[in-house]
Amino acid sequence: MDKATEFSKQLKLKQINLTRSGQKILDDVTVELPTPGITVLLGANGAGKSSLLRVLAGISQPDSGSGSMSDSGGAFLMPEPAVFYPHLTVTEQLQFVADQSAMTPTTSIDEVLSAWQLQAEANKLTAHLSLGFRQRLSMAQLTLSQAGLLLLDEPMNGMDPEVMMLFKQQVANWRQAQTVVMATHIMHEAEAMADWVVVMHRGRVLHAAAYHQEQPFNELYQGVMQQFHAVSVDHQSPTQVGGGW
Amino acid sequence: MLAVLSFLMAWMGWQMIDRYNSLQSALVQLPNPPTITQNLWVPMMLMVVKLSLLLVAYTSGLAIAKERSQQTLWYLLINRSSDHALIWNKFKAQSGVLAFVLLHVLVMTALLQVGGAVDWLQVACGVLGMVLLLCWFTALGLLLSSHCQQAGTAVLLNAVVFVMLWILGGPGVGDEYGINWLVLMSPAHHLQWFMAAEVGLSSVLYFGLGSWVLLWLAGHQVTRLRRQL
Repeated sequence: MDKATEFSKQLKLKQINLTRSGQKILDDVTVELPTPGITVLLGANGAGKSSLLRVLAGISQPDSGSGSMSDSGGAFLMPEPAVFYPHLTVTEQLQFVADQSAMTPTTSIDEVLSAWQLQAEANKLTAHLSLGFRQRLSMAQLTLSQAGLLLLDEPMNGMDPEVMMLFKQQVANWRQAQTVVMATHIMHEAEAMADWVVVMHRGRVLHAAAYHQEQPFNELYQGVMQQFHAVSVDHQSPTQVGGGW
Repeated sequence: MLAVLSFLMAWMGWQMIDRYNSLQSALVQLPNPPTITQNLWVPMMLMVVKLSLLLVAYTSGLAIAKERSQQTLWYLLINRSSDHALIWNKFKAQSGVLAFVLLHVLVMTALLQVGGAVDWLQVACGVLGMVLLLCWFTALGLLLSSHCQQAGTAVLLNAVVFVMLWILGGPGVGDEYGINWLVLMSPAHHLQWFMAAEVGLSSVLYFGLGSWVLLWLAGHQVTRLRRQL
């Protein structure tokens, strides 16, 4: 079956606008994402990927626009950088996330600690964790949250090979039943996971389509950007292009 | 911090009882001597309230500002959770402070009852006043905390504002035509009425409605913060 028709596309955003300090962060974003499935957000720094994730998570309040997701279960975010309550231990932090979830837990904290190899750090304060273990704890939080929509902001930054392997396994599990939206710069690793790709530039969605792995992300991104710049130049008036003197 | 406060309350309470005992022989000479409630319980409770305000300034100051400074506010805002519910939950979480204060009040009152006849109606009115006053200050502390980015700043600001509001209700401050009009704005002044077993509707409204307005404003500030994220 074609990937475009394989998903029921239940997560819809319509004309989302977000302005902060007079600057347009999201500009009329209208996009449909597959549910369940893995969506990868591509874009340069300042493209609006993290802002879009915060809007999807219901943390940021957009100025206008609407969104709908028929799948219930709420959302959970893995921000960049990962932040935890510094005075809580790893177990207490996970307990806090579990308590926040409206769903009846199907996975225990011990299982999550074991899955992400965090048992040795269970009683350590989150403030004392190294980068690698902070990433593991972030992933463990996502696993425990049981949210229908999982939002990951640069999840693969600084991942060591062992964590990367665990991460890929977990993403494969999530793909079956949950919606994952992942913003990343690490294109070659994300290629293998993506069902859908969205390219953003200066707060606008330039491309949103099913991804068939027929073209590397890097080429796809460059192609979309070249097309965008070509169209931008075409739309500029001759006086603007020539300088107007 | 709780242990230090407990020690201070106990030590100052003991000093007050000692002073009262030394004055006992002089007091009984009076035609209408003050009761143990008026002469000992009320000053003791005002001292307890003053010390408790330090605790309220600290805990309510940390409540929102610390979430902001350590960037964990998103855990509480995710999934479009209600901003006013967030503030209400933070307010409810401060009930531990109230329980701590009430426990001391209970122990002190029970000890006084052993040595004399306590006026339980006056005690009930006084305790109601204390609860309402601490709720009012907690709501104010949460509002100030929601406006601060750093926890230390919020605690310091709370302490300064609380002390100023308390001083405002003191005698001889800003007297005009023999009346200190500013005292009507001071929560300490309304507490004095409760302590004298005079429960007025204006005082109940001052504390009840005041707490509600302050909590609503704090919720509104969180909504504003969400628009900045």
